[in-house]
Amino acid sequence: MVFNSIAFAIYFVVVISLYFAMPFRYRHVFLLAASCYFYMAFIPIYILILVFTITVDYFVGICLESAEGNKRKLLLMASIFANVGVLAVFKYQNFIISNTSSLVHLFGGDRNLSLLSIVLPIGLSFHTFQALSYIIEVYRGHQKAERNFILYALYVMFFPQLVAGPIERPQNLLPQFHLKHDFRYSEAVDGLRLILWGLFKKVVIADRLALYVDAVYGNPNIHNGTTFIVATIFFAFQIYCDFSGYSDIAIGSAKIMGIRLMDNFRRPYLSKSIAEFWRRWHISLSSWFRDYLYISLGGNRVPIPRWYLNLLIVFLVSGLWHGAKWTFVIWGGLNGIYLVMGILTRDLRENIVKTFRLTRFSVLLNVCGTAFTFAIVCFTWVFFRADNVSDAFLIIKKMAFPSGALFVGQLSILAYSIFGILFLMLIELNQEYSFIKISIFGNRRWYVRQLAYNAMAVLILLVGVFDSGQFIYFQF
Amino acid sequence: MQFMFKLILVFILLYITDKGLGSILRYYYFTQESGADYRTTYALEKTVADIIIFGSSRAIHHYMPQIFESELYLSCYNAGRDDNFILYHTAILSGILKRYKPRIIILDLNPDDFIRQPRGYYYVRSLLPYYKTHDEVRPTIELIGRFEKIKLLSDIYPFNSKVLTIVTGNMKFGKKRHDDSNGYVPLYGSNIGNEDSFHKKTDDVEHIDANKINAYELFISKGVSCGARVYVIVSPYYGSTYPYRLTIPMAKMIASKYNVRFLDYSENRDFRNHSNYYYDSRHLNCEGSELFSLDVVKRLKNDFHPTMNFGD
Repeated sequence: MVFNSIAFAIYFVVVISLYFAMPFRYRHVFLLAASCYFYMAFIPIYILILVFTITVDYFVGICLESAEGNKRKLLLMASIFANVGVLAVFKYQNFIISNTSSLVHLFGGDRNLSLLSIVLPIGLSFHTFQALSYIIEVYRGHQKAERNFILYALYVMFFPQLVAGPIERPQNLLPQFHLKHDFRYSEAVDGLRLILWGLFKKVVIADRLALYVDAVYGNPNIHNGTTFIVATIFFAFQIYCDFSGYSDIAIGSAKIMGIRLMDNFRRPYLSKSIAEFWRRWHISLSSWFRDYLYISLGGNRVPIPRWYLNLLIVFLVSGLWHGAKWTFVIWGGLNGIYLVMGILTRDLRENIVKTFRLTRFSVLLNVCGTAFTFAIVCFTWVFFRADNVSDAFLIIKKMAFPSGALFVGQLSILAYSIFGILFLMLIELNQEYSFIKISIFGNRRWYVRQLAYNAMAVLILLVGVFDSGQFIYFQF
Repeated sequence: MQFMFKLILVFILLYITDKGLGSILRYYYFTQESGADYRTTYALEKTVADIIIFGSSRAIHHYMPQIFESELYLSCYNAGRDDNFILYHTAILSGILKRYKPRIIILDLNPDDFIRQPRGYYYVRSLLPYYKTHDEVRPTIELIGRFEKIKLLSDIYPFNSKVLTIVTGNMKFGKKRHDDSNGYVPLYGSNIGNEDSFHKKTDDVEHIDANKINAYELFISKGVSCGARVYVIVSPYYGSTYPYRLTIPMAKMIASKYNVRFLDYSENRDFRNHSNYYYDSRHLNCEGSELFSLDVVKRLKNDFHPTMNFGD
């Protein structure tokens, strides 16, 4: 049941209506049941995976509070093993098998290890990390173990963010489940606005761009460098609108129920450096890696070479989290290298700005910084999107020497795509720099707001793509 | 209460906008004078040609109606449409047969026409504007998804992604730009490169779509029942590998069940290796389509008794 479907709209209206209609003491059971139904709409039997990991983590959390010394570490390891083990079996088994098989073949053995055919459970990477976040926080003493099984299960399975985040922290989400949330007009309106904007980004922009990107990246031998440059820029906006659109719908849906989820994106393509980009892109995941992996490795409180290594490790693991393919690992590794290069050149860049008094041209500097950051991020998207490493290198080779005419295909796809990107950039530039001091959705005049809602809905009906299927991040 | 009142107000305003804008779009959609949508409307509502040709882009660019007309002394219309396949053509044929009975029906079949596609029945969306006015296309449209009927309560939705084509289709320069001769659109030059004709990786599994097979059989049976001579043709493509294995044998079997002539040019040496006949590996250019049309006409003539006047 994807967010951009009529089935979800019907489901959501029913859930919200019943949620506010029923007494508070039954709401959590109901919400958990609704979340189970939501999850089982994909592959029903996979609910057992969640039952297993939730049960393990629930009991481990309680035992951790009373345990001491090595027993605490053992309990933590047990939970990590259970959660990461499930992830390894369902997501990485074929990656492990095929790479082992290649290694064996490299040393003269037979390459005859057969691959398993297991469908990846939806949202596995997301709810696994959310569960790990809980256990680690309990272990660190920052979070009391949740003794109410229903509430803990709801923390993992809360349907708005179950399959593609934001990856929540127990300190933020669990206390909210303990409170009674009455229907609030302002929260409902804010929530619906977010849902509308998220839907617009998904069906009007992301899915439209996907038509061109899929046609080009699906045939790397045919298309030229010029086409790949355009397709890669399109993909940059496709993945952003797809993922941030989902996040907006998730956050908006939760907001209507009075639950506040964390922001996941903050206009990342307006970042002036790669470090800033990673503070604005997929915030819930990057902060997760910072708090639970980077800091555990020592962060930047280690000798400099080790610091750089920590950054590389974090981003390589982040790449692997996204998918069991070398292209994702390379994508992650490149981002790690960018960060290290950024740190290495920081002093040099600051000296150049000081020496040549470039602060007088701060606007130009910001524009150059933003454009450069966007360009290097787009380079990494080639690996993220390509089917395999050799396709990625073929595409990069073509992009390095662009030639030939741009593949147009259907002119309307290009036209709508460019319209979508320009519209998005206008909105986001205004949100960032407030050069038009008129609020549309939040305007005081009700008819301006009505016009805005109407215009958005009409654009969705007129220009939206309704047959594209799932969100990109569902595959993670 | 305030929330419900304002929500209802939003929906009322949206309803009014939908009806108003939908009516405007509908009016201008049906006043187009060029483009693919215009040709669909013409095929469904206006043509009374003796010979109707159906198929995707390979039909549009391969079959020259003027050759059929001059050789067979019968009027001819090419009702092919880019990126549209058997489900679409069966719906269009149903609409045509409600109005009149063609004498010859030609279906250009692609070797992957029966294969399930990742995007499902997206191309059937080209029939959405006709949902309210043509009962015969509804079963096909409803295959898109189980909530399609709900979406079609909107008057704007049928014109989804059509704003630009409606604008260009109503402009005079659109008519001049589209070199369209009774539905046939010529391609010029040759761009044969190192590409895979049908973009299929050899280890891809072919999943057959039963709806498409049923539509194909329905197409043939409707054509035969109305008394027309039905031909199923696999027009030429450039290349040496034949990636799809299932569609052609199944299509031949069904065609033979109805005694329908099946002409398979996919392995035809007169066309297969002549790169100068092709615009790209899937489509003949003007030169190639002329030769191909002449060849098809020759075969059609051979089907009739030599003493029979073809124009009768």
